[in-house]
Amino acid sequence: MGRVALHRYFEDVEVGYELPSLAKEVTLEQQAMYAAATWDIKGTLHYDSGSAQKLGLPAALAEGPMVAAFLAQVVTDWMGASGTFRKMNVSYRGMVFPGDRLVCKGKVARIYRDTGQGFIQCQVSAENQRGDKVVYGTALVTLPCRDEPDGRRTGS
Amino acid sequence: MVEGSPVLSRLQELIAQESEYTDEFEVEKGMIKRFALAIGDTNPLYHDEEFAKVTAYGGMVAPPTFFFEWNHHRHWLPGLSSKQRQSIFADLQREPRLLRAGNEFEIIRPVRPGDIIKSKSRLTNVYEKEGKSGQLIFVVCQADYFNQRGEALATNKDVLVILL
Repeated sequence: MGRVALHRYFEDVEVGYELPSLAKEVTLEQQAMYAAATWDIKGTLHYDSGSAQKLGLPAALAEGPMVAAFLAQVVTDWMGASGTFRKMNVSYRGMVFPGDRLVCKGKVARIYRDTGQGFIQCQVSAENQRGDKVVYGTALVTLPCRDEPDGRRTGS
Repeated sequence: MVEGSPVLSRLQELIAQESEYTDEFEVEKGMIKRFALAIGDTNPLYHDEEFAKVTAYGGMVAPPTFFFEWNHHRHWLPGLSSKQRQSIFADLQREPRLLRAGNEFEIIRPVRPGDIIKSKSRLTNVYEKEGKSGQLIFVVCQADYFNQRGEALATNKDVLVILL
């Protein structure tokens, strides 16, 4: 803990900036924790190898939204506690199994101001050890602007 | 491709039919921490009330994708009984396989401890495409989330693909 920035401002962000990436090695234990934490117990193929193999899969299939959560984390780690996460669109394009090593990345694609808020759109993607983009999409966040009196307000 | 698959037309009849579900559990700090631990996210906003209090959030919140799975199984073909589900796929040789193709979501307010989440969901679109391995049916299901005060929390669209 403690690596999250308290204050990051819109004026300091540039298009093309690459957010610090996150390395995630997916484990069966993690898939089981995710299923439990989300109360998705019926989806046994996501945490039980036997159930997955009955469906013709090589191993327990990680849930796409778990990988999307990694991508959201790339953005929230970077934006810090003064930022607000607004929107995310993700496509699940490849399967993820235990032992896969993912590199989760983000890059600033667009910045604009609207009604006193600074909007930042990032491209995000998760690549496995073979270089396949298994999940990708965009995330939209707002950061406070230095010249707005209530710029720090967030999260309503 | 089989034109006008009966599965497709049966699903299309369900568009706009809304179902409502109120979660039986109140969101607690422990639920938020466990979700964050499961995804390996140690951001103190999700773990440390003292830290979160001095931020602009004023207290602990849930990670953004907390909604993605929230009562997900209540949203797939909203409001249908398992008998109705079976009748939709009655003439198939086997259970169809379902895969998630994507998510699109917007957060209006973050989830906080003490929230009781209510969702209203409906099928918003059903269409077919020819895939490499046969006919694919895409289903878009939208869920809108509210707290116990009726305040909007988030909107999430699940895009699912049915492999016939």
